Amino acid sequence: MDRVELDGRWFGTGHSTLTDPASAGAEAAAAALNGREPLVVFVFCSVGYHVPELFDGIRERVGAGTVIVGCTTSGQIGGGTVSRDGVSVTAWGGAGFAVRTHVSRNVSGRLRDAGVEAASCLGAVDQPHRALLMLADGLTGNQHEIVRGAFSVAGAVVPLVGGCAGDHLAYVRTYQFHGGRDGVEILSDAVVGVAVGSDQPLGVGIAHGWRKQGDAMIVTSSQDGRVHELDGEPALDVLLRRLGLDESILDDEEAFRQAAFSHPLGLSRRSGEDIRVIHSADRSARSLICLADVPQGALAWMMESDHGSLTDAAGQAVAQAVGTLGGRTPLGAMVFDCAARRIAIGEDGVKPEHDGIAAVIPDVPFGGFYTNGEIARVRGALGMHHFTVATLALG
Amino acid sequence: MNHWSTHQLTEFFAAVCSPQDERAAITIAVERAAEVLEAEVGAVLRGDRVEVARGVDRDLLDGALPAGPASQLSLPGLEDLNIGTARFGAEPRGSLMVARAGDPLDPEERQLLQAMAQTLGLALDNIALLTAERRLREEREREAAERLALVEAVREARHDSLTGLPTRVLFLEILAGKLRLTVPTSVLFIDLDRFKAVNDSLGHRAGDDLLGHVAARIRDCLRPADVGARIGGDEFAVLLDTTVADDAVPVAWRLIEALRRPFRISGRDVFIGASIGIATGTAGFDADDLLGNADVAMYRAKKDGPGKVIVFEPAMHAEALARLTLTADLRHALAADEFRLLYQPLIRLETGVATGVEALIRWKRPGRGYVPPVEFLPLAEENGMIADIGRWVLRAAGEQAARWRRTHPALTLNVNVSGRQLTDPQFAADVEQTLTGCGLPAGAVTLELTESVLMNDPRTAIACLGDLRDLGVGLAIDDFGTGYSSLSYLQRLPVDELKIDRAFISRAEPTAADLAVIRTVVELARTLKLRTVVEGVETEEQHRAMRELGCDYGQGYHLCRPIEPESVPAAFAAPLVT
Repeated sequence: MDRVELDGRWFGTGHSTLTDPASAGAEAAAAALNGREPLVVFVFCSVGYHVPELFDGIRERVGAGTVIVGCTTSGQIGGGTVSRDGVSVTAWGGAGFAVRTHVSRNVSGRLRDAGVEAASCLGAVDQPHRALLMLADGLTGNQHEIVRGAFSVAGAVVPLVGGCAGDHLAYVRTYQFHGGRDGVEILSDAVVGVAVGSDQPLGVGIAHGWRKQGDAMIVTSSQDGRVHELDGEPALDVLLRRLGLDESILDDEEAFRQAAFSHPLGLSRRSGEDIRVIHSADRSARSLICLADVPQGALAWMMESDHGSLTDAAGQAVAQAVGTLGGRTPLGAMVFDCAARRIAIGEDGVKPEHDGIAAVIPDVPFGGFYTNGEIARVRGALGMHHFTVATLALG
Repeated sequence: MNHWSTHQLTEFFAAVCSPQDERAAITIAVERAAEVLEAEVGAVLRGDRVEVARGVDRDLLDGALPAGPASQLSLPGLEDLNIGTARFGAEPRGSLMVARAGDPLDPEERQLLQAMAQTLGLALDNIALLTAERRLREEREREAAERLALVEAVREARHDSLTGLPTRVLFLEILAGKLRLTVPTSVLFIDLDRFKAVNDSLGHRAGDDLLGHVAARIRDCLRPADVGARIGGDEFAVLLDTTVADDAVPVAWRLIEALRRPFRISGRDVFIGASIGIATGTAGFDADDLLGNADVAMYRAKKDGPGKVIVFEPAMHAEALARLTLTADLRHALAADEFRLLYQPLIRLETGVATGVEALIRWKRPGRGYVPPVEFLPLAEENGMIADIGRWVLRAAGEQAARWRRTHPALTLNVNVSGRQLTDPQFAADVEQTLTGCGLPAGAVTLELTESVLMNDPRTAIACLGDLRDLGVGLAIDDFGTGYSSLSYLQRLPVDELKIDRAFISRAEPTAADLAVIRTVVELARTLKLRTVVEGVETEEQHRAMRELGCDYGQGYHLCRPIEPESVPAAFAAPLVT
């Protein structure tokens, strides 16, 4: 199901894996828009496309007032399918919606301010239901700070959702997009804030599918994302022992990453765990390097899962989001699914995961991308997650 | 088994203790407490007021908080929130508050909140202590800086801030030290020539700049053991270590040569010069006296110069003393009415008839007879008394001429004006007031200025002459041809009369060459529509020659000597020469 329309409000997604950028953009956009003028168009594409040409194929199909936002990814979701290389377009429009945006640039080193800036567009939206969707550069340090900044503006009433841009897990450079019919800016080191307003409820959901393994450990020494010690012992040694791995696995970077991806760290939280992907190890310093901060003094577990739990998590996150719509069938949903989860579940798990979502919201279109960090805040004050699926459902 | 909350506290403690100011610590505490306890809202209250709020606008929370202790909070857009609070700190007490939807805080969470609040209290105490310590340290640093500034200021008094050279104070100290030794020490007193003109025309900043460059050039001329100093204004001094006067002279010339080279100031080449006096002393000399001697010698050099070097001689003290006496007497002379005026008629050469008079000052110094102007006017010019004297002359001569004009209405008056008067911005107004007081029309008066006065500072001169011209007084260039004549300026100066210097007709019978020069001047004057007056006509031959050349007026012993005022009416009764 690519498109749905309710009371003149509509939501559509499209997808293309054509290699020619203009044709790919045009194909995905044509499917998502179906000739209608959208309020907002989300473009998620793999790195490697000649992006200006890609946008040429999209821009000619939108109206003067349409906002185009998006980013590069580690995989696309939309149009009823998933791709590694390709482009997905998600769009919505019709009465009762409002969208305002603000781009915060050069955000490295001032992430909290960037979050504040990106959230500033919320003030221009006064619909009864509001959410702030953020698309951030996935390589700008502790993205938790972006969410903290945004929360300081949005407050507890407005849910936060979104994801961080990717580059097929190369961690070299990601791009964010912002513009409209007359041109789209290709940015790096930016946070794009999208204030979404609606007459109907907006729901945000989150799930990860991990469970604790073994005893808890205290992070006795860490700085930012680098974990030096767990329970007073070099963190790498703890990891190898807990997972029953030999030192030699460090010779094979890919093998180590695969093993580490299957066993992230879970930081203790009241309602569960905050997942931290272990990205690599520093062999000489015997430390572990995570993609987000691991605070010193925190209680942590090694986490484990199985394909079933991980793949089911996506459907659970969507169900959670839909559950807050007051019984309404959603118009559509946006899915921000961790790229590392995709590696953990393997290519064989991608289709079951996708089917799991479709089973929760049959006949409802959904689009999104594989992320480098997921944003979702509904309860409490925390909103930055990893190894997780975050979803936004539009009522 | 470690419970999650115990260890969250470690994390919280580390975060809250990191900032250096109270506000930042409170903000972090609120943020972390809300995050750890998964609360939608967090706040710190001081008294009844919300100081920091998270998750909700501070003012909104202030209004929504129940007055007394309560367990629930209602905020628009959110389901009812369960409140948890914990107090911290001594008076004034604060409280850390969280409010969350869903489950109320369980006992363990309340314990955690309490521990967080206490941690915050400790952190704030710590910050207060550190802040007090920092203030104390800053206070001490400030005091130390002030002490340093004081030392600097004292040093400043001993070093000239503009040039970095020692001041007079330090120079005299060093000199006094040298004068305790048996070897001779020479002092050079350097006075810059034309510095004032640079300062006046290019501004004080350029003047300061110039002094800096001068200091550098002086320094370059000295040996390491020598000392240069700025004594004040445009005066410098140099101490030459173990040097007798004869050896100091070449150094002085070298300095003059160095200072004569152009200085690049404000994008232009500036030429100044220097006059130097030298005095040498050895053990037993007073430093102040030695510098004074060099100053006396410099004065003499300036007078002889500019650009001269003079070595001090004891006789110069006598001269200086005489100059001081003269200055005192001159001051007294004005008050005691010791000045007199003689008048030298200006004769129309064509008719031999006197048409006007030039007022000439004489000083009848008690017990010494008449003192010629050349002996006191330069000093008066130097010490500024010329302004008072000039004013007296104009008034006395003006009153006199006004009386004569009752019987000789066409009589005109010429009065000499000094350079000092011309640069006085009040001069034109003074002239106007004096003439009005005398009842003398401005048109009857011609002010005479020497060529050198006009050419020293033509721009100021032109401005002032313009003002005088506006009054209606006539202007004459005195001693024309003796100074550096710039014909281009002559054309631009608003003058009416040229007085050709006596030097051109010094021979009893003018030669053809003499006549050629005078003819040129007369023709030039005629072209510029200026009257010509030839001075120093002492023979009939000169008189005839001048008349034939077309000179308008003449002055000189052959025509009429300077006469007492009482003789003037008679001189106007009939032609004086034929």
